[in-house]
Formats: sequence, structure tokens, C-alpha cells
Amino acid sequence: MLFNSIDFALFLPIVFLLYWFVANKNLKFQNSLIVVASYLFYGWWDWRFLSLILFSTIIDYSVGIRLSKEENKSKRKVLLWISILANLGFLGFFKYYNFFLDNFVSSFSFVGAEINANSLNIILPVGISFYTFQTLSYTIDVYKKKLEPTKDFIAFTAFVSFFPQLVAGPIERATNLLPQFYKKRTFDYSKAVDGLRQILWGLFKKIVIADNSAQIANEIFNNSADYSGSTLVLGAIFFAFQIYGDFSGYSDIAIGTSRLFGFNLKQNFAFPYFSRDIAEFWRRWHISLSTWFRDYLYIPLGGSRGGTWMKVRNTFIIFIVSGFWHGANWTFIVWGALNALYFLPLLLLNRNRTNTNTVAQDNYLPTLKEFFQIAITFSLTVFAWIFFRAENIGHAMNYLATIFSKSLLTFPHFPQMELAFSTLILIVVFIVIEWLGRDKKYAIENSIAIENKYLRYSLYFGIAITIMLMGNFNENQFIYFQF
Amino acid sequence: MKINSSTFNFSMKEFIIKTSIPSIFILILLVSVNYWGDSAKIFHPNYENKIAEIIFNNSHATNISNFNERILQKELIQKLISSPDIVILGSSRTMLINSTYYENKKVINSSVSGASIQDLIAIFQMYSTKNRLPKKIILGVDPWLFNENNGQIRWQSLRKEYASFENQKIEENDDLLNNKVKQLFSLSYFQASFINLPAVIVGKSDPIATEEIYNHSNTILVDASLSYSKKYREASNEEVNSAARIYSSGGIYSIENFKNISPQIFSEFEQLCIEILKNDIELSFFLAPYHPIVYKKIEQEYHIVLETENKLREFSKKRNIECLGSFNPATYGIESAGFYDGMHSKENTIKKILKVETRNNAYKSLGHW
Repeated sequence: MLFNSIDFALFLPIVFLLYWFVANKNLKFQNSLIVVASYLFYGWWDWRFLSLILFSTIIDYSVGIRLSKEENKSKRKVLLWISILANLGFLGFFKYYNFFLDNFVSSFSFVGAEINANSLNIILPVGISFYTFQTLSYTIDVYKKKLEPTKDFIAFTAFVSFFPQLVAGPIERATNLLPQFYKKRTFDYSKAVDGLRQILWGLFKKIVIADNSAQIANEIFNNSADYSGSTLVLGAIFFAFQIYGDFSGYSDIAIGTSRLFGFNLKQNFAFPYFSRDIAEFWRRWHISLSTWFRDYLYIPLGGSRGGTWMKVRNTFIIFIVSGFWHGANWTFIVWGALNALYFLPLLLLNRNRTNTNTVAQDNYLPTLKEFFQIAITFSLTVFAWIFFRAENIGHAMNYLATIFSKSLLTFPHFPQMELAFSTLILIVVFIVIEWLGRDKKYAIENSIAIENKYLRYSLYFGIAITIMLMGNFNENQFIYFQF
Repeated sequence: MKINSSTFNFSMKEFIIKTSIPSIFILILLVSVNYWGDSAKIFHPNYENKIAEIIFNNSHATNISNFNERILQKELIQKLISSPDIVILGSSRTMLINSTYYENKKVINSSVSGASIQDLIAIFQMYSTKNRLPKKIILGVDPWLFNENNGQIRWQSLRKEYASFENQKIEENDDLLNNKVKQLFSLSYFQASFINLPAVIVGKSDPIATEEIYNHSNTILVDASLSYSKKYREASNEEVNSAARIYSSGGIYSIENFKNISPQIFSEFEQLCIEILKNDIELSFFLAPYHPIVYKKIEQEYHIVLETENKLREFSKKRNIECLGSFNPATYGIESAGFYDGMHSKENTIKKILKVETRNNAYKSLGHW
């Protein structure tokens, strides 16, 4: 079920009313309703893959229980590996089987040995990369004794399948989300209103910014051979806003929906395009994944504590794995490696934590220096997005070759210029609103401070009407569903 | 406990009220704009009748948009006072064929956008039922006709007529009602209807009678053929090529899932042709070409289209049916300048295929038959 669908518009109020009026009696009812609603939400897409979630849930729940009773280190390690192999096994099969097979066959044919191996027609279960990582965090934390294993199966099932963030995150840590299933939630008016506000902003990002940008980016990327360098630059910029609006919009809707049900999820995006360097960008982009990799991969590998070689190795590993997490394609790996290259100089010069505060804090505008820092960081990001969006490496290289040709100096031109122009205006308005709210969890969080309620409601109505009038209701799939 | 419960009741009540009022307001706005703006005239169905009235009053109808072409055909056929000499059946790719191509002939263009086999059958059936069968039918045959996955559902406006040809009884269902309800709450429809709203408010949303053939918006001419809007007609070669590229990027309209020629549809097509011939009607197939850019992609990725053309030619030879045109523009030496977009030919292209000699004939109005 898509957040931006009529189905969800009916599903959400029904579940909300059942949750607060029928299941409100006790904790078990509340959690059970969340499980039922979550399985319905996921099964709406394809009920067959519910068995995968259930299997993952049973494995990790059982491993958790066994870990609580087991003190022998070797046995504990075996239990941990059972969970890791089961979860990553599913992920590996559904997401990476064909990639590895194709590359294996290509490598052999490169040295003259022909191997006959047929790719499988595998459907990638929506959200598998997200819930797999979420359940893994539980097992690893229990193994490390950072978290008491749960004995409440319903609560654990609800934690794994929690519908607002099941298919595209944020990837919640068990330490944050699971305990919230142990306590009966009580209705909090201001929290629910805040949730609705964040949902509204998420819908704006997704339907107005991302989906309009998508139409233009798709046209330019799909026909890149026909367009000039300047048009391709435009295409890459639109893709940058597509992916940001799409993914952060989804996160906003997920976080807002959770708040309606009394849950607090972690912030997943913190205005990444206002970052002054790449290190700051990665502290602000897809925070739940970056911190997951930091805590469960980078730090166990030694982090940045070792010598230069160790730092370089670990940085490349984390970025390349992060790229590969996004998809089984060399383009994602190059995208990850490119970001590692951007990041390394900052790390080696010990400047990776220079910009930890909000840009231009307490000022309306950034300084000239900050402005250029933001512009350079954004440009580097857009450059890397070209690899992320391209069909394959060859496509990306051709795209870049056209950008760095004489045609870069021509005026961009393609058939949807009118749409591009109106979308650019919307993006400018969007950037201004995001800038004004950049020290908040989401851009319009601070609108509650507008004392005049008519003005406040006008703002909300303005956003709603803009969605209705300027939204694109054709490009409705979320990009991150495929990851 | 009692305090908690009353606090819950109070804050929940406040929440529900404060969210319901704006939601209801937005819902009312959505429904009202969709109903009154009604860009596709779903809720104001006499629109097609107004176009038909204009045509039968010997004027062209312009300022038209998003009406139900199938219903218009129904209205026109109902109003015919005598049988036509020539009827053109087909899709938007045959809509430009008009009465000026045929001297002193009663010509009516009954093409409908995205025509499927059901449309062709249903429209033929309307002529038959009304006892207005023509002497000749030019049948525009598009490749998607034989694709069971062509995604065309618009023929359902004529499902009774289609079922009547097939001697089938149809169950009265509420599809159209459902479709209306869906459109009432549709956000895409809201955007189109909102644009249409000012014209509705100032009373300029209805079709306008004109004596001009070329107008700002599309025009249905007195013989029910089409004249494109100014913007479309005046598109530069570069814009046309660009439109062709867009058209061919991704899946091509209605043939993206064309895997094999549906035996069932081909049999229905045969049945239709046999029925036409049985009524002593001269039949010609018209295969509208694709833009060279689009055809290149078809050659590379849609070999089934080439197979379809071969099969049609074999069939026409077997049945002694004239087959004009080709999906391949090169067959008639047509270049990109001969197109309005990726799949719609210009008048000169059509004339070339139909071997029309220009004699500056006037349009013959349906009202003058």
C-alpha cells in the first residue's frame, strides 16, 4: 500500500479509530492491532512475502530468547550467526543472486570460459533491506547485551512489521522502538497534531517536489543521448530533488504516522542539501542507515581509531557496502566509492566534524563562505547521483561525457520545459521553507509558533491545495521501495 | 482513571473535530471542482449532443475538449438522414480523413481515439442497426488492435452495441457509475477540472460553432473529421521529432505488452470484415504509418508489429481487400516532416497513401446529405 494512495487514505483513519477506540483497552490489544494492520498493509502489495517477514520475526525472536539463556561465548556466537545468515541469506538471494550470477558468468567469459547459467526471475520483496537491518540490530544488540531480549512475541512482531516504517524506513534500532511496544500508548493531542503536520509536509515533498522532478529526470535520463550537456545537468539536478523529496517525504509520512499512534521514530533526514561538506551531508542524509553502518560495521571494523590505512580501508568498506545496499548494480558501488573519495580527505585531515551545528544558526542568510560550501557540496552530491540514477556504468559515462562537452554552454532544451520551469519555481519555494525550518526536525514543525490560528491554518490549506493542484499523481511509486 | 479517561475524551474529541473540519472542507472542494469543472464532461453528458447539433447545423465545432468520442458517434449516427457513401472507421490515426478527398461523396469520419476491435465492431453495428450502412468503409487498422493487453477500455461506452453484434446479452453493471464516483474523488481529475472551471464560470466551456477550419483548439468538422489545434499544426520539425522521441521512449502506446497476435481478436476482426463484405460494402484497410523515429524502435523492439502487418496483408490478399498504407513510413517514402507527432500523420501523408488528387473540394456537411 502506498502512502500517497486512496487505499492508504482510507486505511489510516480506520486503523487510527480502531486503535484509539477499540484496542485502547490494553497493551496487548494495541500491539495486536498494529500487527494485523501492518500485515494487511504489507500484504496489500503481495501477501506471499508476509511469510518472509514472519520467518525473520520467528528466527530473531527465538535467537533472542536463546541468547538470554546462553552464557557460553561460542554458542552465543553461533546463535548470532544463525540470525545474520538467515536474514542476510534472504536479502542475498532476493536482491543479489542475479547480480552475482551475471558477474560470475561475465568473469569467466572474459577469460574465455563459457558458463551456461540462467538468471532467475526473482521478485524483490518490498522493504526487505529495511526490515532485515532492523531485526539484525535487535539480535546484535541482544548479543552485545545492550538490550534485554523480549519475551513478548506480539510486541516483537509489531516492532519488526510496524507498518509506517516497514517498507522504506527509517530503520529503527530495537533499543529505541522496541521498548515503546512495552508500554500502553496514551493519546497525546499535540503529538498527533504534530504527526499530521509532518505527514502533510511529507506528502508535499513526495507528490509535488519528487514526482514532478521525476517526470523531468526520467525524460532526460532515459533519452540522454538526445540532449545537450546543459540539459543533462538540469536532469541530474532534478533527480537530486526527486530522490530527496521522495525518500525524505516517505520518512516524514512514516514518522508522522507513527506519532498518530503514539510512537517516536528517529529523524531520518536533517536538511542534507544545506550541508557544508560531505561529512556533514552523510550525518544528515538517511541518518538511520548511516548510523546503522557506523555502529554495526564501521566501529566493529576499527572505525577511525587505527592508522591511515585502516581509516582508508574502513571508509571505503562502509561507503561501498552502503552503495551495494541500495541495489545490485555497479552504478551503486561506484556511487558509494565516489562518496568515499569525497569523504576521505576530510577524515584524513581530521576535518570531518567541522560542521556539526546548523548552518547560519540565528541568521537569516548564510555567509558567502557558507553559501559556496553548500554549493560545492551540492554539486559533488549531484555528480554522484548521476551514477546512482544511470542504468549502468556506460550510461553514466556517456552522460558525463555529454555534460563535459561544448553543449554544456548551450541553453537547456527538452520537450517538457514548461513543466521544468514550474517545478523549478516550486523547488525554490520548497528550498526557502526548508531553509527557514532547518533547525527543526522537519521544515514546518515551527509553524505551531504562528500564533494567529487563521494564518496557521491558511499555511496548512495552502500546502494541501498546492498538493492537489501542482502534485503529480502519475509517478507515484516511492524510489526506495526497490532497495 | 476517570480523569485520564475524560482527558482522553476531550483531547480526542478536539483532535477529531479539528481534523474533520478541514478534511471535509477539502473533500467538498475536490468534489465540487470535479463536478462543476468536469473537464471530461462525465457529469454533464449532453456535451456530445451539443457538438452533434452544431455539425448538423452545418458548422464546425471548436472549443472542444475531453468529451466522449464514442458517445458523439452515437449521437451523429442517430441523426443521419441517409446512408453515407463512405465511412471511416479507426483511431485518432485516421481522424483527419475527410470529405474533401472524395468529390460529391457523403463521407463521415467515425474514428475514435485508441480504437480497439470492440469500438470498430460497435460503431459498425450502430450503422447496421440504424440501417445506414455505407457503400464503402475505410478501416484504419492499428497494430494494437490485435494486442489483448492494449489496455483500451474506452470501448465500454459502446458495450451494448458491441454485445449486440456478437449476439451476446450483457449484464447491466455499474462500471460507469463506479467510474463516475472514482472521478469525483480523483486528484488528477481535479487538476484538469480546476483549469476548466473559469470557462464554466464565465459560460465559455461549451463547444462553439465556427465556419473556420483551423482554430485555436481542436475542431470537429462538418463531416466529423478532425482539424488539429493551432499549436499542434504549427509545431516545428524539431518539436515533432522531439514528440516522437518522447512517444517512443519507454513503452509505445498500447503495444508495450504486445507479445502475440491474439487469435480471438483476429477472429473477431475477420468476422467484422466478413460482415462488411457480406453487406456488399467495399472495404479498404488503411495502415497509418509511424514516425521514422518510432518505427525504428518498432523494428528493433516490437517485431510483432511487423508480423501483424504481414498477417494483415495476407488476409487482405486472401479476401481481395484493398490494403493502403503501411506502418513503415519508408514504404511510401514518408519522412519526419509528414507527421504531427510520433504516430499521427499530416494530411499530405494521408493523401499520398489514399492517392487523393487535390481538386479543392469543399467539406460536405452531414446536415447537407
